[in-house]
Amino acid sequence: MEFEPEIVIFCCQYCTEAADTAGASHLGYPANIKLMELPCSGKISIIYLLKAFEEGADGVCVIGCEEGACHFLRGNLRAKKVVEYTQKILEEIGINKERLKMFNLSSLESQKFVQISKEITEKIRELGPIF
Amino acid sequence: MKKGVFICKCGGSINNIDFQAISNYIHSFNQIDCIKESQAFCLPEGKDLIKGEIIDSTLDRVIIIGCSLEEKRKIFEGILKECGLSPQALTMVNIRERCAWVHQDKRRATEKAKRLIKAGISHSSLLKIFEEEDISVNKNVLVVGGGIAGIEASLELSRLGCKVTLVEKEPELGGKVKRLANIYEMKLKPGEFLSKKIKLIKESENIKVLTSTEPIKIEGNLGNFTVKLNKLSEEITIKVGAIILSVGCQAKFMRKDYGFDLSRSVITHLQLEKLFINGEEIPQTICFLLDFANKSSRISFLSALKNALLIKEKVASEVFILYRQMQVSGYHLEKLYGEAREKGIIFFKYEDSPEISFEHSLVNISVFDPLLKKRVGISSHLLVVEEEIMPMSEFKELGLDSKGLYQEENIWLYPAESNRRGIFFAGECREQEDVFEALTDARAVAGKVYNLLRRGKITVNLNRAVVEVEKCALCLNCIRSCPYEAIGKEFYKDEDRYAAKVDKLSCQGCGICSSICPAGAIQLTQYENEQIITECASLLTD
Ligand SMILES: Cc1cc2nc3c(=O)[nH]c(=O)nc-3n(C[C@H](O)[C@H](O)[C@H](O)COP(=O)(O)OP(=O)(O)OC[C@H]3O[C@@H](n4cnc5c(N)ncnc54)[C@H](O)[C@@H]3O)c2cc1C
Ligand code: SF4
Ligand code: SF4
Repeated sequence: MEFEPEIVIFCCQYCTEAADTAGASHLGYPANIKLMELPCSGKISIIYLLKAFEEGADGVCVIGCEEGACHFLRGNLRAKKVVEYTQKILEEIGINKERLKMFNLSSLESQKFVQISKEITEKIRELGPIF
Repeated sequence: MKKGVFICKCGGSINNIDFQAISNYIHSFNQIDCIKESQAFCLPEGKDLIKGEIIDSTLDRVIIIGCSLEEKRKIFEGILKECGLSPQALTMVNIRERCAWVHQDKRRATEKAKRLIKAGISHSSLLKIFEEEDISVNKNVLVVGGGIAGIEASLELSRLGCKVTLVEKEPELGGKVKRLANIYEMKLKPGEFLSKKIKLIKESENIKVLTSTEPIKIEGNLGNFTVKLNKLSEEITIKVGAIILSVGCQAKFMRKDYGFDLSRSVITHLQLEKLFINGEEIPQTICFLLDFANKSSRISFLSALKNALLIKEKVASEVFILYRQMQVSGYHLEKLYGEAREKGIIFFKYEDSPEISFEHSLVNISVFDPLLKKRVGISSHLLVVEEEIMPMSEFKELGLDSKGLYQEENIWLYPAESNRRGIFFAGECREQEDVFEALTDARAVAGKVYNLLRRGKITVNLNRAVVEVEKCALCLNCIRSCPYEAIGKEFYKDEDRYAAKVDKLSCQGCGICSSICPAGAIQLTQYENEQIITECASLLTD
């Protein structure tokens, strides 16, 4: 059977609107994707990301609003830093940092959400199971 | 804690999920007190079913599995409220838009739905309910800056019944409008227009004007600001609930960019206005040089076009306007531009900066026009150059945006708000505006402020940051990272120590502070670390 990766997307409350619009328009994306809603991408912390891997995620994404358009002014810039820092930790413990990625979106871009979901699922499928 | 799970089939529109499997799955959880299914829980019959169950089974947590649309959430929150529960007790699990409608394979959609439900149940188990809380606020308002925007905002607030203190650092009200000779499309002269407004201010019992006064320190938060004012070296302290900054802009000649000084034959737009006001003679040829330093604003174009026309009509002299990009977006500007072209004002476009030299009382300008594809020489008696527009006053507490104007809160959602809740901007300090725009802007902002304060109390957001005093190491990371300056340092009497303190009304609930705190001392009420980690783990395991 083909490997079905477990993927969690931590998504700010505004970007989940993009996901819900994708749903309302019946734009399909892989069932591997599971959303965790946060108030702002800036709420993401290293511990959430590492725990997600520990609990069995093969890939993790963080989605926040476009830079300069964060509803909380600079939450997405903070999220970017947290993701970059966590990528370093992953590398140090021998996990490919490509398994963690940050994307920026606006709440209207449901197509882009679908595209990101497909892209990340393909990528992680390629990388194979994490452990 | 008693949990009820309600599975909604959404009128049959969720058809690629195996509801029997879902139902069996939910029955396998032990701590669930009732499980009900319906074709549509948002319709009267379904609603009654929920109500009945909440009361009969004395539920205090409600999980609805179906959609998670905002308007439906309102309906369900309403049901909870009717039954005496807090709306916070509701958890909605979206197996429609986030599952059934996006995944084709029934087996996989059902498997994913189970995970979503498991996560929803663990979320609900860890939910904490907070009391709704109102905080009383001072209803008085401080308006800083007595230009047209500050005047109009004060008048509007006074009309709505708020008490206003209007402070102006100059000895008189009026701001920049006082320095204009006329306002395009306004019949009244700026002076007359201003005196009318100032008369209304004087007549209003609700407005106290302090001239030659500047704020020196703003402390506190929305609803309860304490502002120290300096009136000719005398210190005055006032307490207000909100502050409107309408401090306008400063117009400064850009000596560095132009590379030459102002003189009798080189003047700025405001100096030209002064020539008009003083009734001085305007020379035969006059040339406006716009956009030279690439820092031009619409208002410079407005001012140049307006005055070019005026000169053309009155003095019948030769008028040139040199520009890089014509910026005529805005109130009547396009019309003004058309009129200027019709009346024979000569426009030259340029890409490379024009060469400028001085000869006796003449200014020689040589410019290559890419539309004409040719170099043109102009000899003018007067060259009118632009001022750079920069913020009038600095407030350490507030940041500036990329244009050097005051930073706004998210401009798409909350224009006119600063990053500190309760401090607003009106008029030209926020965005380059003409007088009409400044008037409308000021009234809108006044309405906004009134709306915020009118009840005399503000309800605290249910989702906000709280500090666990014992854990706080006072590293100050949270204070630095909060985009809304909502956190300060405070002495807690009970614990007999200092710790970080979040202002209840200023916090917007983004959670940045809680993710940055190395001691785990700050949590968001509705997104505690434990909740997020458990929910995420549920999503990932069967
Ligand atoms: C050359 C020129 C020509 C223009 N021509 C036109 C035109 O033809 N038509 C048109 O519609 N618009 C025109 N405008 C635009 C118009 O001047 C502005 O829209 C208007 O002045 C904006 O008003 P304001 O109240 O926001 O700011 P301002 O008029 O700048 O008022 C700000 C006030 O705040 C005070 N202040 C600043 N800092 C403090 C402080 N720390 N404490 C207390 N008080 C403070 C200042 O002293 C001032 O009185 C022109 C502007 C310029 C520069
Ligand atoms: S970041 Fe945490 S430990 Fe540091 S001051 Fe804030 S609450 Fe205290
Ligand atoms: S949740 Fe956001 S707004 Fe509230 S105190 Fe923390 S950083 Fe500031």
